[in-house]
Amino acid sequence: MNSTDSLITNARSAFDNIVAGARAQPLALICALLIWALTVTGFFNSADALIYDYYSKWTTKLGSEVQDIIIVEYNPTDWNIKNDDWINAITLLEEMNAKEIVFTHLPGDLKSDFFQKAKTYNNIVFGRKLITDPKNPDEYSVEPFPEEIDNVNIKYGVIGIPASSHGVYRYQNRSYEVKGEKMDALETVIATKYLDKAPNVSGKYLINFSGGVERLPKITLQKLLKKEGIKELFSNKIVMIGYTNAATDVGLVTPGIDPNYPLSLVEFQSFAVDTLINHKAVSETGAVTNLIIFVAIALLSFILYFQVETTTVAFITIGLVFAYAVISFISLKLLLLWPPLVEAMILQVILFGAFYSRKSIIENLTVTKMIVELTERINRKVSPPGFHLTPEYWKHVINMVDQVLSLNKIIFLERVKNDHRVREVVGLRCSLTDIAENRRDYERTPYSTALQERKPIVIQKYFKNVIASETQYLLPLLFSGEVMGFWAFTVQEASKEAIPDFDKTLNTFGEQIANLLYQRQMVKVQEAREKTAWFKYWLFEQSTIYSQLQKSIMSFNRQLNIYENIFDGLNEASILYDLFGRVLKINKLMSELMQEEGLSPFSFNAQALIERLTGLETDYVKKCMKHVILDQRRLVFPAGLKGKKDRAYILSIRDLRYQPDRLTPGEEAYPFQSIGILLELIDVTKMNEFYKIKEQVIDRVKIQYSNDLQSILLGISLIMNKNLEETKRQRAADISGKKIVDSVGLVTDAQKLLDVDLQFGFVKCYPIDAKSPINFAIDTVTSELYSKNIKIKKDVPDLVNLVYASQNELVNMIRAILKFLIQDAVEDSEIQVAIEESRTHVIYTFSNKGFGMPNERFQFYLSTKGEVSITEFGEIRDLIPIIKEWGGELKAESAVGIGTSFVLKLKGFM
Amino acid sequence: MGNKKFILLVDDDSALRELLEMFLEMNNFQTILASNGKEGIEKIKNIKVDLLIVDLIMPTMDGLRFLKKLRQDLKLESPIIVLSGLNKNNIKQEALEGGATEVIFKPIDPDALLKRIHHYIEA
Repeated sequence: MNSTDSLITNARSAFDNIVAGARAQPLALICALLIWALTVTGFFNSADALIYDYYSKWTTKLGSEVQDIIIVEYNPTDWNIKNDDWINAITLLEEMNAKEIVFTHLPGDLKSDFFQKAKTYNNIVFGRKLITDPKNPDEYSVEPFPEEIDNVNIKYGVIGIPASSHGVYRYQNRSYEVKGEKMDALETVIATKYLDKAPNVSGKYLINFSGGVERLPKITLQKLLKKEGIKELFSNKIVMIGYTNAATDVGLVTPGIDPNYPLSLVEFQSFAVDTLINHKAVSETGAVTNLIIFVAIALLSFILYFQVETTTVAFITIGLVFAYAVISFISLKLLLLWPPLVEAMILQVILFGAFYSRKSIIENLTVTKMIVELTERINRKVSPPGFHLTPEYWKHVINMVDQVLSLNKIIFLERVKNDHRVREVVGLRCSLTDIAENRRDYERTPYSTALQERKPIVIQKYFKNVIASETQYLLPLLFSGEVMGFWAFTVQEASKEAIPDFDKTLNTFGEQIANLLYQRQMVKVQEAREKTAWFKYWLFEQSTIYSQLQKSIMSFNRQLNIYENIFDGLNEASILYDLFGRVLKINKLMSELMQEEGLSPFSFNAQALIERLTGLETDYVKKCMKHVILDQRRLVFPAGLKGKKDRAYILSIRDLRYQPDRLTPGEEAYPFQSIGILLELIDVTKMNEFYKIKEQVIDRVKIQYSNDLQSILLGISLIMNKNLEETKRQRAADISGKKIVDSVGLVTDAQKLLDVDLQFGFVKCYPIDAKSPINFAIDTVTSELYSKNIKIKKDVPDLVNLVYASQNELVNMIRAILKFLIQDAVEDSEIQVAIEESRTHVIYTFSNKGFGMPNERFQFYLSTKGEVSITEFGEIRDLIPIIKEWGGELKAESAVGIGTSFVLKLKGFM
Repeated sequence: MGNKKFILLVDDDSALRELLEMFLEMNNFQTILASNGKEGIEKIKNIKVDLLIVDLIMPTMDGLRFLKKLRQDLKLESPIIVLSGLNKNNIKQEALEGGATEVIFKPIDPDALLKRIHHYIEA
């Protein structure tokens, strides 16, 4: 695949992912809306508040000292403050140029002169507590000023604290409703005065406690009165006068504050004032903003999720959750905006779960689709569609079974799908109507018994009209443990006896038939599936799909085993390499040959093995390989094995290719469409022998023909010589004439001999080399010779005529003779083997120095059918008629204490 | 008659033997005939031959054995022409190693054969 293709594929894949993400958006929106709805109902408030408090604790550490406010605190239980003290206090504060003097409560013993003084300063604000009306608990009023005081123009604000959430005070109200009217809270009044405008908050606002209580400057009232406070402390500041925490008994636990040291009311109010005058109120995102945030998170997350690997999604989710935490912190610190952190986190986790569920469903669907398709593909590979449904096919099957097993009535029954009945597939000499058993329910006897036994069982009265000598059988047809059907038949006792290992043979046939029934069933399923949407199977028949795949794989595996066995059983030693020299498959014969040669197939690549077997040069082999792969040429070279010098081989090298029409949809061929390089080492020894035999015949014919031609030439020379006597000339003419006739006959005879096809083994007699059978036979008895330390002494001429015989049978005869002689011979002796040629025959003589036996008895054994204990004797005797067929004869004699000799006389060629 | 050279012809083909005999005698050679090596050995024991013409493929004793016997056992020094129908280089080599003076493959023009004979002996 080139880079452009790769880019297109990647782009397509990315696009597909975006589409998949887009398709999943409704699910994302549902998640977002769910979280939003829960947020609106306050479902997350507690969790949100906890996170807010935790964050506040961090932000308090980062705050700086409050610049505009100073607290003057006192504990009334420690010290009884009088009206004059308060006048003194405000006088001092005015002198030190305090901007606002705030009484966060109304001291109990204030007199009118204090208030008169306070009025003159115009910067004193009083806090008045909310009081519940005893008659109407839902109605509030404010704490009254002392009755004797003219309260006109005295500035005040309402002291109130909104209800805590789980004991934590986070909010202050801008105003409180008093008798139907909204009255500004004390903090609002102070901020409005300080800023000369109303603070920018509405309703409830989050107080900013950042920096913590330590950043609030404080001084005790006693110190103020003792004039220990310096002017800079109070100048242009809001002085908040109030009780110490000890005086109020119950402190206020707020965010970012150690719960063991809760705030006093004045501290709480000071933070609230600081929040308002410095515009530090922490706002929360509203419902609409939240909805936008949630929808954005959901949509973007799903697009992102579908872009990346599934395993990465988990990391992305963790990363986003962490990012929300950081963003929220930054938002709180810098923007004073508290986003819906908990909601966002939970939404992200829910999206993650939703994505996985959806992905899992998609993957499950895809896998199911793949399984269905794979099952179909396997089934198509194992058998062509529709093939198993044709009645002709089953007729062929049942006929084959009948021919092999010689049964009488035969019927194959198949199980009806989703039922416990069986029906006829095919019958021979019977049909379903010939079955006396009418229920045809395989959950009942005799079917259930056959299923239990899992082998052919004898049944009674199953078929109608059965003759007495027939036995009825029923065999369950099981495939992968599942009932495919039954095979019922009748058989004569004689036919049964002719079947070797009856049960086993029948079971083997049964397995094959069950396999065929399974294929038939699969074709039917396939036809049904083509009419039904495959996802229906996903929804309702998942288990069926897996079961079908399992069976298909089993069936495929069985077929594969057959192919492997065929490959292993090939007469040619074969090894298949991939294009890169790796062994893909080696058959048994090649494996054995290489083992005998001391070669490890996996340590030789194709090129090295070719070099080793053919002896060709590396460069030449490389060129050949190139031809084989690129030009699809089949090359054949003579080859040899070092350990088998007597054998002749040829090595075939060819490129094994995919046939495009055999590829099923979805399958792809390898590069170059090549499966690999197949090396086949073909043993041509036998073929060579055939050629050698004919070559020998040709040689002999040539010799005879040369002799005849020489005679003719001499004859002509003599005839043409006028000095030669007439009688001699006539004699020369006669001889030449006869030689011409002989030569013509010779050519005709030779042609007949050369036309004979030796390869099929039908030729019982042919002119063959007289000497080589002796060598072959000796090779087969080397172990026997060795065991008795017997040597073979050969007296064989270099040039011997061909003899009329069959090569294999002559070797067998000589081997049998040699074995007999070895058995009879004394140890450390010699066996004489000689060949002598007469004008018409070649005479083999085999003799030993052995124990021998009385010649009469020996001749009796050799010529009659009497029982013999020596196997070779029997073999020799059996081969004597064949020798006679060749026109030869075997004579032998034995003498006690001397030994035995055999004379084999075979007809010579020409 | 007394000056004629003796040639021993050893060939299992009686017709060829007879024709060769006529041909050699017509060219003033005296011939002695044998149908195989064994017979040839017997013949050579009684008469001194000037040249031998020997076939290779013969029953009883083939030409190669016969050559070895002549050269190794009988220490015969006379030239030996092997006249063989078996036209194979290895056979030629074996015959030469076995003691043949020259190997000629059948068929050969009788005049050419005569020239080769004259190369070794004069009639």
